[in-house]
Amino acid sequence: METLINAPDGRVIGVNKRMLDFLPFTILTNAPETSVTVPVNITKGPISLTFSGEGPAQIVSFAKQQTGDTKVFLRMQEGRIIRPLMNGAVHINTLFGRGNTPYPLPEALYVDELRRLFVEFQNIAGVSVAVRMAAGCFRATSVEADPTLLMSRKRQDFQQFLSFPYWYTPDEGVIVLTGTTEFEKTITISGSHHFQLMQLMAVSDAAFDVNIIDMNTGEALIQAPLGNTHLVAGETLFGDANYPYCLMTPRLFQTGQKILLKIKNRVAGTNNVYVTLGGRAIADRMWR
Amino acid sequence: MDRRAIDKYIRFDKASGKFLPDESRRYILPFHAFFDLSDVAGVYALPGSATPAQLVCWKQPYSSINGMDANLGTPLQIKSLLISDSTNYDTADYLVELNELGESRKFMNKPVHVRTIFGTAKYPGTLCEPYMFSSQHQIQMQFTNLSVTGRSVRPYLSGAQYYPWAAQSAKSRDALASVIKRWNMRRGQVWPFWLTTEEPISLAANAEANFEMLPGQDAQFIARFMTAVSTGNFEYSLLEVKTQQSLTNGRATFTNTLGDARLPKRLSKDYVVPAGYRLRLTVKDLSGATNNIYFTIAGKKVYAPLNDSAEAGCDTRALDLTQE
Repeated sequence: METLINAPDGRVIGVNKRMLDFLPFTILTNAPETSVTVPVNITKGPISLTFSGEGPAQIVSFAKQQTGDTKVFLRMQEGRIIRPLMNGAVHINTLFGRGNTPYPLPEALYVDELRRLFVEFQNIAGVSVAVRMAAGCFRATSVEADPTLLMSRKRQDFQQFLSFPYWYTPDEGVIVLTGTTEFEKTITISGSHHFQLMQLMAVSDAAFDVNIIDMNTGEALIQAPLGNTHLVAGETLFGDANYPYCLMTPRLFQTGQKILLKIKNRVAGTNNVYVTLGGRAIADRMWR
Repeated sequence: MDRRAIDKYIRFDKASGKFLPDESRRYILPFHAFFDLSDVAGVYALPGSATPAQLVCWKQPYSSINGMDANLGTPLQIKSLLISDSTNYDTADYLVELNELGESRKFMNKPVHVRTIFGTAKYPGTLCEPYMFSSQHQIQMQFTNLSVTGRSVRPYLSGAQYYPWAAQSAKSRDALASVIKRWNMRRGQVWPFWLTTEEPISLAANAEANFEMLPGQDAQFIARFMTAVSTGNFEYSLLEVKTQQSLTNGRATFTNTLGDARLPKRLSKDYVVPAGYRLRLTVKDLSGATNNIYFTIAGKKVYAPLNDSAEAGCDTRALDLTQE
């Protein structure tokens, strides 16, 4: 929806008053947990981000302020159903950006007074950590006052049953690389949805080389038709939450499918690699 | 635009059956405008200790070699603000105020911090609305240095200069004139605006206070970016006083929601603040020391009523000049 109503000769006829029903909004973890303290080796949460009854919202970005590293797990509550938005906890720096470079969600996440987001933080810093999460969104207020907005809300509702943002990390979580041995790690797509891969993020102690292979077809993501088996530099394939690497075209992995990560240290020594694949889950059945 | 056009610069020419550059677009050129050199000798010297520096002006000349400019002169469409500081950008610490003199237009309600509106070549300080700086107009600028030591700066207006008189064919001249005339209509109603607090913010350690931000009674304000510069971290909330709508459900912080002009926080949707409404900023120091905070909301002022597209009978998307 455009904010200004323009005439062909360049005049501005008006400011679209329907924009008054929209409000840019930043939702934080509920008070008094606006700043979440996560003690050493403790998982804190779930903590909710709750909207009041003023209307639905679309969450479009995540940002944070932190004093140390954590892993994050997101869940969505919809009525009595709580469903995860990821297969395992992911490194915070692959999911939450900074205030001026927030992480753009692969798809907007619809929330309202009946659907809320839960977040869980797991300390991996070795010292007590404080995290302040901020989710950027826009709210649609006064929904009932405007039939077209009501239709928009319905559409958002229905879309949510079919598709929602989702993140995958390797089945075993963090990948610990030692020496310069090549490791093979898998990511198993859930049996309840297809996964459309859109973004690649990783955080590591040191440089690594990697290849991503579709285990159904044996095709690599890089130079697939040539049957390439070479690993590529990890920093050319993975961004982080501030600047995720966005695939030029999304790649669909079907329900139950496995993705193989061939990964190798580029330097000697131990290297902890946290990989996060961002995209959207496309449900293979209606939620209700 | 013709569906067969490659873009607005390369279009399909029916007569020749070829793709040809749109001649009129060749006379819109990238441009950096430095302020009038008769004011100071190339570099803007700022005295220290909060002394307002000399006023300087950008003057847009009326150049038209052959007179075929349809009285449009050579306007500059300003799209971003750039600055070079004698030390470095991150230590640039001065307030800036911009005014258009001829039309008595204020671009901000109060002086704002330079790093909340000016950027660098890598990350320019982008205007929320391009501003058509017409020939024979002047934009006045004044810096006030906040640090004790003096420094020298080079500020630039960056954008596109239109040369309507330079086109070879009458068709191109007419096309260019048409675009400029439409922008001239628009500039009468819409221009970039930066909103900051009415009073400067200086908090004692861990102190909390409220500050008013008044966009004014004269026009609707449409906010798009939020920026801040401060001497320490802080938490804040923003509330529209009349409707009691808050833009957060708690206190956000500088670190998790804001940036400076180079990478500002972009609002997820344009925020329309109707004329006469006011915003209240509540800030609290988190640094444990005296904290000077410069908070700026970048947007545009629109002199048009609140309306809706059905009432106005217009397709808003098809006619958006900024998309051309």
